[in-house]
Amino acid sequence: MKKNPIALSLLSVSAAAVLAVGAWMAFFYAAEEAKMGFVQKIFYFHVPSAWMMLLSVPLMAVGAVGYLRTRRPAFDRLADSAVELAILFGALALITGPLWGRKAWGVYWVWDVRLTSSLVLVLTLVACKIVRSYAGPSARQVGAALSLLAVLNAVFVWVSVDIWRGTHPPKLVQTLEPSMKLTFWICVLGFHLAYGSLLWTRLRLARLEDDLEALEIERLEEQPT
Amino acid sequence: MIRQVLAVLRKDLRAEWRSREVLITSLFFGFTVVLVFSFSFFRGDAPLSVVGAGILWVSVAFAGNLALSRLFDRERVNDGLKGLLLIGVKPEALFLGKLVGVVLLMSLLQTVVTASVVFFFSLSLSALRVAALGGTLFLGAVGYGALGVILNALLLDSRGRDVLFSVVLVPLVLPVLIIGVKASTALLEPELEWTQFAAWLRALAAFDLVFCTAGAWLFGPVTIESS
Repeated sequence: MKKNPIALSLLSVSAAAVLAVGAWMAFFYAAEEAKMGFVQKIFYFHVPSAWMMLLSVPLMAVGAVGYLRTRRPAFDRLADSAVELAILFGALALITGPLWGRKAWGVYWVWDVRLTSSLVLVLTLVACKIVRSYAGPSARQVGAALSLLAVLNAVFVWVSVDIWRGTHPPKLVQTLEPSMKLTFWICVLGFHLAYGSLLWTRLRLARLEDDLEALEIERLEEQPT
Repeated sequence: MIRQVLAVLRKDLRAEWRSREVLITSLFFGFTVVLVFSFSFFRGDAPLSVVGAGILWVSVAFAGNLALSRLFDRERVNDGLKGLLLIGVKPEALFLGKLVGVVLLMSLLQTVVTASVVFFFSLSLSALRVAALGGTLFLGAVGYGALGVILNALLLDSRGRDVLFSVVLVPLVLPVLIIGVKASTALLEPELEWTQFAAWLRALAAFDLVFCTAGAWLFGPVTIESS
């Protein structure tokens, strides 16, 4: 098997380092928020997770549309990897969100537009992975089409924001105290690096899986029946 | 194009009318679901009328799921879908024809379910509100149907079609159900805010537009490859 490219190893190591620094800063450097206290620290991990989930959405859309139009496996690998990462980071955001909400709103869950659209997105993507793994021969096509529908769905819920009552805090990054802002951006950087490293690794894995499958088919065809 | 849509619709309706299997099973199932809900939500002697809107949509969704999971059964055997595409039916026309059929079926289903909900939960509605509820349900049926048709086509030759269909349909139609329930709850309130209701209705119409377009676009690539 081919070894990891050096750039990928560097990326992974720097992601781990930046995330470690970010975690340290969140707990020991950033000022404690007046009203929320210690629970506010969730913010440093919750917001970047949600951003990473959203980052996957355009990647998914490109992969899915590209695959449906050209039928090139590379597009499918991109869409599938983005789906998995969106589930991972979406799950992180959906776990950390209610923990924060319990303290801020008194309840774990409200049907706010952002919560709803994130939940709908993660649910549809999980369904998409389930179907993909059981669909059989048309798995790639089913996966691409479903992730496209999931993207549309999330965008739709997101756009219908104006008629929904929103309790989710709006953009408050600009209003942060300097030590908090710095910590936040370090965490965001760490999450981006981690995302890049995970995506790259996942794409390589998908490529290897495809190669392996091709080799198996080749071998089977060689064998006299 | 319109001729093709009508031809597909006529074929489906005729086939359904001769057996009536989907119609009768889903109508009966919808009725029983409402029945089950009506004795699950009791306060004292009477069922709670505030949960009416939620029960209406959940029952429609359950029964609709049953009705839609068999949508392409007649096309699947003997490669019927391939046949239809080979004689020159446009994929978009096939999608629309199926969709109109589904909306008709869903409307019947919704009428029965609504009547049962009104009966079991003793709701009283003015004629205007009944018309508004009808409109909401219709828009819901279009969105639900568009997703149902495209998902059916997608999963046409997958193993375990029926289970997978339900697994993906429910999360995808979640927005329709949420908006539908919100709009219907507004209708069942004594003081009705029409502007709020109109906003829900617009959202539902937007959903229909997005998913009918997406469905019509996806239908071609998805069916031509798999057949």
